[in-house]
Amino acid sequence: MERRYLLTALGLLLGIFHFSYAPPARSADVGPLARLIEGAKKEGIVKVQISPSSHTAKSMKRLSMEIKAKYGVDLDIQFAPVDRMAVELSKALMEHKLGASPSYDLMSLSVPNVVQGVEAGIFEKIEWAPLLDKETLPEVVMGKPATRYYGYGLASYTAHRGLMYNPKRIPPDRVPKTLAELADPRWKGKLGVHNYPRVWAEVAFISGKEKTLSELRAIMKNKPIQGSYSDLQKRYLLEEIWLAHSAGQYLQAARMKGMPAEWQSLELSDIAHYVLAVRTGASHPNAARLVAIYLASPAGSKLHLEEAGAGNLYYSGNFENSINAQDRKLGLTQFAWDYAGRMEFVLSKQADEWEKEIERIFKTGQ
Amino acid sequence: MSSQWSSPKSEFLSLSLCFYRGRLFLREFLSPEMPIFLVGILVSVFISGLVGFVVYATFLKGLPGVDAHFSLANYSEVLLDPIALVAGLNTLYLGIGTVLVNLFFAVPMAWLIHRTNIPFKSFFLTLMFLHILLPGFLKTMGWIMLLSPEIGLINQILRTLIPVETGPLSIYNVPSMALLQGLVLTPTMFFMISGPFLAVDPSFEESAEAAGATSFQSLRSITFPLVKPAIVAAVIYNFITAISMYEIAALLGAANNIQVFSTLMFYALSRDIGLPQYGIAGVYGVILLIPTLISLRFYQRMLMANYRYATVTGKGYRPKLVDMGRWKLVGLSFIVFYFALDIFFPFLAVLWTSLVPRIQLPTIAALAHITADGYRSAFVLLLEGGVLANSMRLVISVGAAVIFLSLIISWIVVRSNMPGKYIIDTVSMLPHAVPRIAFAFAITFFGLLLARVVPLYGSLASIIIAHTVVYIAFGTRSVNAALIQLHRDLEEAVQTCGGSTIAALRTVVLPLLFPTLFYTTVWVGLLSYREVTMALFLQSPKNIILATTIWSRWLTGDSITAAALGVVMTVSMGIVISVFVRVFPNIFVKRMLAQ
Repeated sequence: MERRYLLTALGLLLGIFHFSYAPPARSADVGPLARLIEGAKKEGIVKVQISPSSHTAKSMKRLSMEIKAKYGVDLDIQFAPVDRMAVELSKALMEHKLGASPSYDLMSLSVPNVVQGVEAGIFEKIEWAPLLDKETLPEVVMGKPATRYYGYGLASYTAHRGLMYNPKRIPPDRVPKTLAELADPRWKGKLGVHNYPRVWAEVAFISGKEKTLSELRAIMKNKPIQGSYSDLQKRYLLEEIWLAHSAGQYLQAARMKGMPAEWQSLELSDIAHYVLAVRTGASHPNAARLVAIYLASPAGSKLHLEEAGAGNLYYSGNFENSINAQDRKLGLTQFAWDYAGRMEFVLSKQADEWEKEIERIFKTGQ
Repeated sequence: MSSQWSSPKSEFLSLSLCFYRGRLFLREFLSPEMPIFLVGILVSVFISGLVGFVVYATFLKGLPGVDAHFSLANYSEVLLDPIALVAGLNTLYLGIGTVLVNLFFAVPMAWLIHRTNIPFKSFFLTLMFLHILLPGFLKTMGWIMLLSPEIGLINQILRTLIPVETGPLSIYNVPSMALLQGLVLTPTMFFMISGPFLAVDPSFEESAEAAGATSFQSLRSITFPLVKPAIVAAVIYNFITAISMYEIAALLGAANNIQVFSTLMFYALSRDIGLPQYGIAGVYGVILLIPTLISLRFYQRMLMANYRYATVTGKGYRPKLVDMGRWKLVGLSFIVFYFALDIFFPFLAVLWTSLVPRIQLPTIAALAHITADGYRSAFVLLLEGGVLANSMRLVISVGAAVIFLSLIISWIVVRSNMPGKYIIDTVSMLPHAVPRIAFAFAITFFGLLLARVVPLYGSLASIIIAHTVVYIAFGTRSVNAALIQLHRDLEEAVQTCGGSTIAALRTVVLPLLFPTLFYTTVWVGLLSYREVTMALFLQSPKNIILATTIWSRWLTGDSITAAALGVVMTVSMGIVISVFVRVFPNIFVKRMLAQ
């Protein structure tokens, strides 16, 4: 009897010894996601530069809680909102060139800015496909397989560029459908136009330079209010203007605040993608990847929508998806960042020259 | 001619001159005041390094340290821009208009509050401090609500009387921009000239009146000439501020095709795609340096004759207030008129914005949407992430550092015989002319270069340094003007009794300069509290402050929270200042009047 007890005790001890001291399973034995989760657990912290800048400490706390619930990783998300993407990119480029460690593990920028960063080597190429869960659409991965920029980021939200209008003031059948129609004198004093010359240069690349520039000159005769998307939004909310050439998230922001707002894309369905990209040499690369895959998933998209008013055309149930559907119904062609030659143009000297011409139109009205 | 210049005699003379200057410099430098000189020189070298980098960047096309190459393209781009001339003229008109509005309000108010027996002084002083806590962009939106030709409330009322479609008044023009900027910058001028107004010895005015001059004549020919250096310093400072201010010019001007230098500079920096053109921003800074240097030369000539403005001599100096008599009501109405324009109406607009879910005109229908949500999120933001603690650290550190360094620089400039002292004065003023974002960029660049040795990059210290360097211009203008009024006799008396320069500074200069030092410290602290441009550029998760939080809320359309934060800060600081004024009247009012 005693011997049986002794053998059982010995067996138990051996079992405990085995589980305590046995070497951990080789990393090849577990999936890449499990390894990522383990890595993120060890890191415990992640520094994120988040956009849209409407994210707050509250929304980051929610993100941390949702990541914990889904992956079991307790992350301390240290964040700062992005104010001006180009400025943040310039700082990241300087950090990289001067050999300083990156301030952020993960940056959220528009595709042209990410592409510039990729060319300078500040972002890491990642094999995202095995990390994404089955609800996340593979289209969120930046680029197409085997193309230059594939795998450098995940689209976390999108923004159509077009016309937001006040349906209380302008019935949908009378709203301008083309850029040229904004030059109609009846919109004098009622119109706001964003003055980002590079974005207009992209429109000119798609629609034709002479056409776009001459239409802009004609629009300037209406003396529209000019400014950033954010400036135009204030004028729109005050009802100083009824039409604002703006970005999709401002439509959502206006609606969330109870302001009547509808959308009309002008001639083309122009879509900007905002991408999460992991910095080369990031201090917390696993945690950064984990945050990125979560924010690019349907659950992350919901968080973006509810906390920051940003939509994602890839998932249903948000305004970006609805604008996309509306544009398809109208038969408008989609022009995203991967439209043939668009990125090459954005980074070219030609774009610099066009930008200057457009800037002059905005500054002088001619 | 040329042989004459290169003759051995002239070489000997120039060598002797160099030797003499060197000896003079060493004698001054190795004096007991050496630590003061050393600090002054180090600060100047540091500022020169930063300004030098900004100027160097103007000759680079591309991002310094990344892909830049030497070129004059930035200069040709700015100077050959067809709109540069128009924008230059608009900038000039805006600067002059702003300063005229400043002079119209600030000088009479400083005299009324500090030199007369007008009532409610402490209340007005509190309001003057509070002015800065209301964010400029919210104030400007308030004015748009009142005077936009399309939707302005005043215009809507006027349209019931005048049959016009839009207007009749418009806020979108250079005179309106100058008026608003003038209102915004009036407290800055007020605080710059407050100390000197307090220090004018009334015996001069009494002598004039005894000689038959009326009160107005003694004011015109005695008081104002004595505070002239302070007024000139404030005019120069505010002129440079006015031509580089962005908020009002952008919301009222650029939005309607009226360009000034600051809005053109913004084009170069605020690109959605592509790298910011820091070099071009620097070129505008170099252009702004020209009027700065010219006006400084004029100002420094005045400093050279500083004995003319000494009014606190220690010989029976006693302050006395002018009895306003029946003019009291007129003076009071003038001050109330200013505060109505600068604080009351804008505060109402901000208060309204803090109570409605979106920025909108006050209407009966909108009353149904009143909510306290903005205040809820404001308190959440205030309590989270160390934002408030960071802001407090920033305000206190910048206020203390600026006043300490300004006192040292001003003492060197006004009191010492150190050769090259006016170079130090000029250098201290340079950061004011340099675009803030270009400055923040220079600090970032140096921070990154030194990242492995000094953990400055991304820290709160980087913002503190940036603000300190930029506000030294304000600090030195204020302290120069006050120091000029103290007669050298006072310090010489201490030195005759065997006291050192430091002892004279501690026992005589500091107590007599107290009003100026106090005002300057508080005002600089508040300027630092509100500054957004540099803080945003230098932002990292570790150094987020209240000003950038309010700006982010505003930028993302969360006007209700931005406005609520503005109201909370204004009201809470108002209470703190009022309590201080009541509990410590010696510090705030009586002490100033007793100097």
